[in-house]
Amino acid sequence: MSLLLYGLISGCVYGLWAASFSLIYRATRIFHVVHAAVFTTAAYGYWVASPLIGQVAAAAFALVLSVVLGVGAELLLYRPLARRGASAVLLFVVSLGAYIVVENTIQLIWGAAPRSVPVPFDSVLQTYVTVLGAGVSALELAEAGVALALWGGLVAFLRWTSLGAAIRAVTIAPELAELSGIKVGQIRVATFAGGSLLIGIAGLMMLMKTGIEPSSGLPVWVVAIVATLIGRASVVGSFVASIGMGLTESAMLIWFPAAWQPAMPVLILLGFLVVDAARARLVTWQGRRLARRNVAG
Amino acid sequence: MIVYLYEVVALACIFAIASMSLNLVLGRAGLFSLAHGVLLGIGAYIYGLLTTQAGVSPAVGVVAAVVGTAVLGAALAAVSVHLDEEQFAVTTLAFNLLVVIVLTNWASLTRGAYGVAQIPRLSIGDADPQLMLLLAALLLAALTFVAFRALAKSGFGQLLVASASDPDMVRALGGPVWSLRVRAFAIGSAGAGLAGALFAMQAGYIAPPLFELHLSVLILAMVILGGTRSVGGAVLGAVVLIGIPEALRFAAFNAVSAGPLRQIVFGLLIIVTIYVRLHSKTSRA
Repeated sequence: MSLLLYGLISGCVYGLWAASFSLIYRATRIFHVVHAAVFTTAAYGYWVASPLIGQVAAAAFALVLSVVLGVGAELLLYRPLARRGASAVLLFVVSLGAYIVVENTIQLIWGAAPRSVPVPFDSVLQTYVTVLGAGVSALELAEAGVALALWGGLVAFLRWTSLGAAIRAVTIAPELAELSGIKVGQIRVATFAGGSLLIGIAGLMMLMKTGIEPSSGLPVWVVAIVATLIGRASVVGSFVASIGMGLTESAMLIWFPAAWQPAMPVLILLGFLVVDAARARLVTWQGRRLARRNVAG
Repeated sequence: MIVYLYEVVALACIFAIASMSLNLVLGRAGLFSLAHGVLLGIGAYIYGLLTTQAGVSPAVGVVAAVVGTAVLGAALAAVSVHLDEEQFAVTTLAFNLLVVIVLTNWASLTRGAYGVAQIPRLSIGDADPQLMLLLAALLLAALTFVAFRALAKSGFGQLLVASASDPDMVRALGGPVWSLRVRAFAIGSAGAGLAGALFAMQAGYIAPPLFELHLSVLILAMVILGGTRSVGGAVLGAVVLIGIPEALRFAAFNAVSAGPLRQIVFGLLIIVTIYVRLHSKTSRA
């Protein structure tokens, strides 16, 4: 029972990661690895700034930093390269290069050691509560709640605002959207800003819960991308996939030691691909059989 | 000093083998693999474990590393080469992470985080082992160069290029695109396995952190820097990217900042190379 609860809690947090990534991925089809660097940059921004300017201002600073980095990647890397005719995979490799630069710059300045901050509102958030017969910290519950609320907000935003409608239009048919007067470039920037804001919040959440190190971002990105691929890149689908991944991870704890936990998203992805490949082969085989029958008949 | 020079040249040869084999996978078959570093790691582990734990002779260990890595690479390719190229890249990245986790956690097989130590080298009589390794690495790199050049010019190599640039056309003409790609990836993995076995000999000690994503990125940077269509370029990329950090080592950098600084240089190099290549391509057109 407690495993179910833990699975749901981490599923919600994964859902936020996935939603932030799929918002950008849907509109741009870029495998934006810099997203992982935005995650760590937000956390380090807060960690550096909070002793100097207080928690609230530091959080604001960290989120501004996230948006600047995410939008900067679009304006300074992806857009000029796409204009020169870079293919999707080249943009991915460039993004990976930029991620490596940011991660190692952080490590160069602040070292590889994990960093953590005191929990805000500690009188409330550091208490333990019992839910469904399982002890869980209020902080974890609050983070899952925040993740769920942000995701709900994103879905509502995409559904009911005109900017949301424009984002959906660019996702479905970029050329048509351009023709009907939507500024596709601006909409892309908007998705980078929104996605970076969300992953920045997720970075702060991880900093407060478990602490963070320069290399924390990449595993987060892998979870987000696996959920996005399995959820067919939809904001709702990827959230459902994330919950599934959270539950699978909890279930894995029954049979495997916790050290194996990072293997979960990768195993799920490879399993998904094997099934997908088998299905594709089956379709080809059925098609061939059908073709033979038609020729014979 | 001379021993140190031997080591650097041997290392450059080892990475030249690795980058030439990735060159086949990326430059000919068009498969953007981010698993090449960890495939090298698999080769290193097969060699290291067989020679230290199972008492296998170094020569047999090298063959086992080549064959074993090729088989694992073929298995990975079999489930992933039908994907879009960027999905393929992500899958190989995920495979890289997975193998490092397995190497770290399956301690009863791989000795986990302790790593494998005292890995033996090829030896003939009482020749200087470092010199022997250098000669072996040079010879194998030369053989790999000749083999991959021949492969690139062969019908197989041409079909690979065709299936990378227009898979539907090749399919329509009856070309087995899936099996071509799987075979190319398996051959590339064999090259990585060979480089891995030599790497294990050179290092003498291997542990999981050596084979994390940065190694795949390093080999990728070598291929991109050298130009994806040229086998000789891959060799040049390896020599430059092994040579620069060794030169940096003599400049006054302390050991802690050297690692991240190197990564930053590689990352920037990838970005700048792609940027410049695209620029020259569009300005010519």
